[in-house]
Amino acid sequence: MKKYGKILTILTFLLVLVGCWDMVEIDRRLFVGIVGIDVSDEPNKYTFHFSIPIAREIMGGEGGGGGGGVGGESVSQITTEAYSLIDAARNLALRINRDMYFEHMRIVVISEEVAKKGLKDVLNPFARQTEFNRRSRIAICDGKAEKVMQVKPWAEKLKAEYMESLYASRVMSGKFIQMDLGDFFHNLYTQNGSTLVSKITPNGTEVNIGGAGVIKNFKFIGWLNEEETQGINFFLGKVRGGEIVAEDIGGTGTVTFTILGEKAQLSLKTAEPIPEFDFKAYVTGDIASTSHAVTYDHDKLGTKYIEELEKVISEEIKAQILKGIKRLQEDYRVDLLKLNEHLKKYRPDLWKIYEEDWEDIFPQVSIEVDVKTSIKNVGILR
Amino acid sequence: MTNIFSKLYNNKKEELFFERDMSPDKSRKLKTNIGENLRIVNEYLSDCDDVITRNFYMGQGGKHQMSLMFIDGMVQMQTVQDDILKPLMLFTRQFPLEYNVGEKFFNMVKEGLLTAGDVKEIDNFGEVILGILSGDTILFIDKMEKALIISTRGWEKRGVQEPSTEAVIRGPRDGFTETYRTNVALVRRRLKDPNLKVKTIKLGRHTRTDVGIMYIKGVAKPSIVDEVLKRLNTVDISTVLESGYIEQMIEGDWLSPFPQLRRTERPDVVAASLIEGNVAILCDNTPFALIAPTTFLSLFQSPEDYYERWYIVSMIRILRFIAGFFAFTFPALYIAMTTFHPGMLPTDLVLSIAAAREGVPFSAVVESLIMVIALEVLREAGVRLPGPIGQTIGIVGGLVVGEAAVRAGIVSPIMVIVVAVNAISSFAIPNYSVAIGFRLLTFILMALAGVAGLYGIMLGLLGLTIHLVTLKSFGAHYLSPFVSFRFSESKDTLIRGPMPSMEIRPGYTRPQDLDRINDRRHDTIDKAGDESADQ
Repeated sequence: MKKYGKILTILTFLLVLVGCWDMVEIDRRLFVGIVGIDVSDEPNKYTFHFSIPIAREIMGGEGGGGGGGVGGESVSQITTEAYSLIDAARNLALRINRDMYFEHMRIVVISEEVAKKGLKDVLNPFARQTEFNRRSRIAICDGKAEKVMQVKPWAEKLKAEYMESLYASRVMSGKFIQMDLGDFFHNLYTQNGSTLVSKITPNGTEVNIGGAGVIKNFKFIGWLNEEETQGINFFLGKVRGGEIVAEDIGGTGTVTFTILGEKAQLSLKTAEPIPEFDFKAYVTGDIASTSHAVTYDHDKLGTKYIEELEKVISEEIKAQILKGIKRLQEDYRVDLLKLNEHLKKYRPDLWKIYEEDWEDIFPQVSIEVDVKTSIKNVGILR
Repeated sequence: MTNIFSKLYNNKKEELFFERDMSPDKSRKLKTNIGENLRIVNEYLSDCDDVITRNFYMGQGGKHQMSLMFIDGMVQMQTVQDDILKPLMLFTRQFPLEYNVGEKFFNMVKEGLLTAGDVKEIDNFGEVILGILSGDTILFIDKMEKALIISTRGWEKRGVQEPSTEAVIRGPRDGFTETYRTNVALVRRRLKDPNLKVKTIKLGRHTRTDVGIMYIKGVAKPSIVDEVLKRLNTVDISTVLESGYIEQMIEGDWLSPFPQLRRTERPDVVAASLIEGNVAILCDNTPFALIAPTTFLSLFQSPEDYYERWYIVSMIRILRFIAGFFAFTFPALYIAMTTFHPGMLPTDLVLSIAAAREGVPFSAVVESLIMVIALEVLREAGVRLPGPIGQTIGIVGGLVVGEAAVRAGIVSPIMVIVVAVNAISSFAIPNYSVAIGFRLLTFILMALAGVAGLYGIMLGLLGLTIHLVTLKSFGAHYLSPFVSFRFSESKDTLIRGPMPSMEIRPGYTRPQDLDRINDRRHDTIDKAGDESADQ
């Protein structure tokens, strides 16, 4: 009987304690979609922007008591100046009666200026706290972050969803950096504060996510354009889609090649005095269009033509890769090609020697790039 | 705990005519004088106007005085008239009766005159009274210390109809009735096996209800049969009106929300269980038979599972388990997800739930409680009302009130969906007792979710698992075959394997004879048939 008495007591506690822990009704929360960070006029302070969808407006004002205004903004933006994100949330608690909730955060936008000052302190809470969505994207914005927050996408109601789904697109995956907050911190903290980060460019009703920002030692140092980004993505073996446009055989126009997949292979060729690497990429894809007319004549698009085409496309990809490498080696002098990781993994003995001066050695490293393309499909009609 | 109950009963034992084992009455022998006998019987059955006594004389000069006693309405008057009164009073006039009063005459009446089917001698008042009350007819003969009991039982009864709580699409349509003998016959018809044993005992000091246990000798484990008999014999209860009385008295853990005996209205289910080594308990006056031991899985099974093809059945079974899960967790999951972990839901869903809840005056827990309780009330109201009105209640309650409540902003539309899914899921469980048990668990899980979110739900599910793992039904693990798992038994669990592959009987009953299918004749027949058809 004692046992059942205990069970009864626990059950009674249950009834009394309902809602005692960190329970917040869903309609008492604000689901932050975008966090934007700008520099502030005051030293050491930042301007934080939070983009918050208004559920009532998004869902067309239905449900609950009475409909909302028809012309109302579906997403509202709150701005505050604070020393850190947590400080900002505290400040807002004085102004807003609902709880800020960050697990539906979709993207963190950091302005170029903030990134130039350094990312260590401003991103610290995102890495430290559990309540931030680790699958959120992070991007550095060309200009002020506020501009990105004020973009009004014409197709979507929710800005955050709009930007998130841009990153989810596979088709153009070579030309931007596919990386979430978790990966970002992983890269940042395992590579001495250097990583590539997505670039976001606001443009009225749209944003452009092409290109990349280079972060060295927790500080933003410059941009890569779309082609260079694609080159580095090729080098890292991350390209799963997108198009390569090259000049067609015979100079009659252009040929468009759709990438289906890529395999990258990096190997150390010579270790001393300066390491030399051998890089091989195997790219597969389809021919999307050529400058030749569609014909039933088999000779026009025969094996020989395809072989030549493969070479042309390989050259084009190789050029992109080399451009990317050159930019990193000469302009930014930062190893984002994960060569250091390769050495660390496969030649730890060498890495011990190079580790100290890798920043100086990296620009001198020579990499031999070899690209092999294979065309799987040329379309229904030749 | 059963001790406490039996003590209670023992303390206020009434002055009853029938003692449990009937010994005092059996010892009270019949007298020689018919008048004396009738007087004693009438003493017992005083103020019972439905008891009819028919005195008559037989033989020339009325030298043989006789008396018939029976209860009007419980006997077949046709049998009494044609097989008892007519032979004794009419036919004996056509030839002289040589015998005088005595043993020879008594035997002649019993063996030569009565044309009724079942006639037995009795010599004590206990059997006389019980016989009369059970619908038999008693024939007293003067100068004899014995009487004849003639089986004339027959009363108004419901015919064999389709079972209303366990309807099937494919399968036999006959269900048990309120008559014990009919029910036994329905099972016997399916198992023409001399090893099918039926043992009848009488339970209930007032009701003297026939309770029978059925099992197949050589299949059912003797210790389980003994255990069932033992438990039945310990039942000391004044009334047995339904098998539910027995079920609750003999089940092992009466605090558990899960029934430890499976109840069924279908003779085919009983027959199938008997073959698997179970013991069935049939009870007079109720169409519900009990099956012991029972496993958790068997409560999710329908007889149709074995009649339909195995692909379909396997899919339906998996659906049932999913429904079973939602039947007790869905409102709790809703509470946990929306109030503790909105990060686990897709953003669009979160926003739509948030928008729907805007303006709802109650917290999610209270809102869920209101809706779930309202639904329980609705269900209860619908069950009690006669058919057409019950449907009306469903429409009024479900559609009108629900819609109006949403319009008025008392509950959110999402909540209506949650509760509806919860209710429909619980009705997808074939066994009503389990479904109701699950609905009870809903409330506990909701409270846990309200306190600690998903963490609370996990705690609740853990507690439930611990309870189920330790629960036993007549010595069999309630969760078998998952407890003490054997792969060969897994074919008839979450899915149902093809019939030819189910070569052995389930092991939880520890059957003496494990073979269900002796060889894979099915395969050879099939292939041979196909080949000959090809040629």
